[in-house]
Amino acid sequence: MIPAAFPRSVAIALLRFAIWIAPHDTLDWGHAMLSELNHVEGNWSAFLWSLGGAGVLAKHAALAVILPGRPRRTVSSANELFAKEIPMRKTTLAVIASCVVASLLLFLAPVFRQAFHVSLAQWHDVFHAKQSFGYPSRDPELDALVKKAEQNRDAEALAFVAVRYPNAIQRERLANEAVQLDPNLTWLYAVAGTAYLSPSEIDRRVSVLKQWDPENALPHLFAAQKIGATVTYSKEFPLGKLEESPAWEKEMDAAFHLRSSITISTAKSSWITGFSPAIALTTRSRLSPVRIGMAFPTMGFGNAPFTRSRFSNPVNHSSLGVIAKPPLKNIGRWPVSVR
Amino acid sequence: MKTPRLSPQTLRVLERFVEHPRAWRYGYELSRETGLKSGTLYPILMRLAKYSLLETKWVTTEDGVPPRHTYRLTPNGVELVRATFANSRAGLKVRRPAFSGGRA
Repeated sequence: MIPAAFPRSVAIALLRFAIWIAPHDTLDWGHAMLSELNHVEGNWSAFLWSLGGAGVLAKHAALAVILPGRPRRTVSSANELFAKEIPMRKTTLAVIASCVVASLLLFLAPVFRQAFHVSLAQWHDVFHAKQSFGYPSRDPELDALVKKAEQNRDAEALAFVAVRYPNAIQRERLANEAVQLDPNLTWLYAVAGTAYLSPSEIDRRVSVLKQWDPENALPHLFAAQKIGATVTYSKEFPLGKLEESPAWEKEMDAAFHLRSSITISTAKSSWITGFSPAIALTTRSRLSPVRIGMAFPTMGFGNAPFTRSRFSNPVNHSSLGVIAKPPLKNIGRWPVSVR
Repeated sequence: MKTPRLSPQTLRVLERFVEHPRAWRYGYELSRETGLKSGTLYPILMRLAKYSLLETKWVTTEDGVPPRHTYRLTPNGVELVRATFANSRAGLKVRRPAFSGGRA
C-alpha cells in the first residue's frame, strides 16, 4: 500500500530534480513552484502541481541545450561561477569553429582531396550496392556497358564486363560471347567461374582451357570442382571423404603438379599470376564436403567480381581459402574501351 | 513597447489582477482562481514578468515555512490590463490591445 504522503514526496523530488537541470534564468521560478507546493492541498494535487512545474523547467532546460546562446544552469548558488561560463562557452565554440575551418582548408590541397575521395570510395559500394542474399545482382552502369558491347560485338568490352558483372550466370554467358569473338580471351573462362554451367559445358571449357594453355593448372581445378560438386550433391561419399574420389584426386594431383606454372601466360591476364601454391595448402587442409566453398577450388575466381564489388578490393580470396599473392591488382585497370 | 501574446489563459490570469491591480498574489492562489495548472500558469507568469508587466517578490509569511513567490502588476501591466479590458467591454476582439500608443 502506498503511503499517503508518497505522492507529495515524489512531487518534491521531481521538482527538485527539475530545478537542478533548469537553466539559471528559471531557477527563481522553479523555487517559486517548489515553495507553492507546500501550500497545495492534497497529496495527489501536489504531485500534479509538481508534474506541471517540472515540465515547464524541463522545456527550458531542453531549449538551453538546443540554443547555445541560452545560459545553462550548472551551479545553483554561485552566480560568479555561472558568469564565467559564457566566455568559456564562447571559447569552446571558437575553438570548434577554428578546427572546422582548418579541416575544410585541407580540401584546398589536391592530394588531400584525392585521398578523401579514395577513402569515401571504399564506402560507396557498401551504401549503394543493390544486394540480393548479400550479393549485388545488377549494376545499371554495367548493364549499359553490356548492351553497348553486345551491340558492337566488342570482345574486349565483353571481357571487361564479364569479369565485373555481379550475376554469375550473366558473367559466364558474357565470357562465352567474348571468347567466341576472340579466342585469345579464353582465359575468361577461368575468371567467369563454372557455378551455373552444365557438366557438358564445364567439360567443354576445361578442354578449351587445356588446349589454350597446357601448362596451366586451372582446367584441372575446374575439373576437380565439377567432380567435387557431383560428389557433394550426390552424397556418394561420406563427409570428409572427397579425397577418396579417384577422379578428383587425379585432377588435383595434376593441378598441383603444375602448380609452379599456375599462371595464365598472356600479358593481359597478368592479374592472375598471384595464383600460388598456397591454394593447395588451404584447399587440401580444409577440404570437406560440409564446407562446400572449400570443395570448389576455383570458386574464388568465379566470385572475383562479387568480392571486388562488395569490398572495393580488387580480389582478396583469403576468406574463401584461396590466397592470391600478390593481390590481383590489375583487375581494375583492364585496357578496354567501349567503342 | 512589446506585449506578450494575450491568449485566453493569459487573459484569465490578467483578469485576476483587475480588481486589485497593485495587490500581491501567490501562484497557487492564482492557479485555483483561474483553474489553470502549474504547467500553464507559470509560463504565463514568466512571460508577463519578462515583458515587465509583472513584478515578483519573495515574501516570508511565517517562521519555518519557506518564503513564497508573489506577483503583482507593474504600472505598465496595470495600463495593459485596463486597456485590454476596456476594449473587451467595448466589444472589440482583443488580440493586440492599444497600449502606449500601440495598435488598437
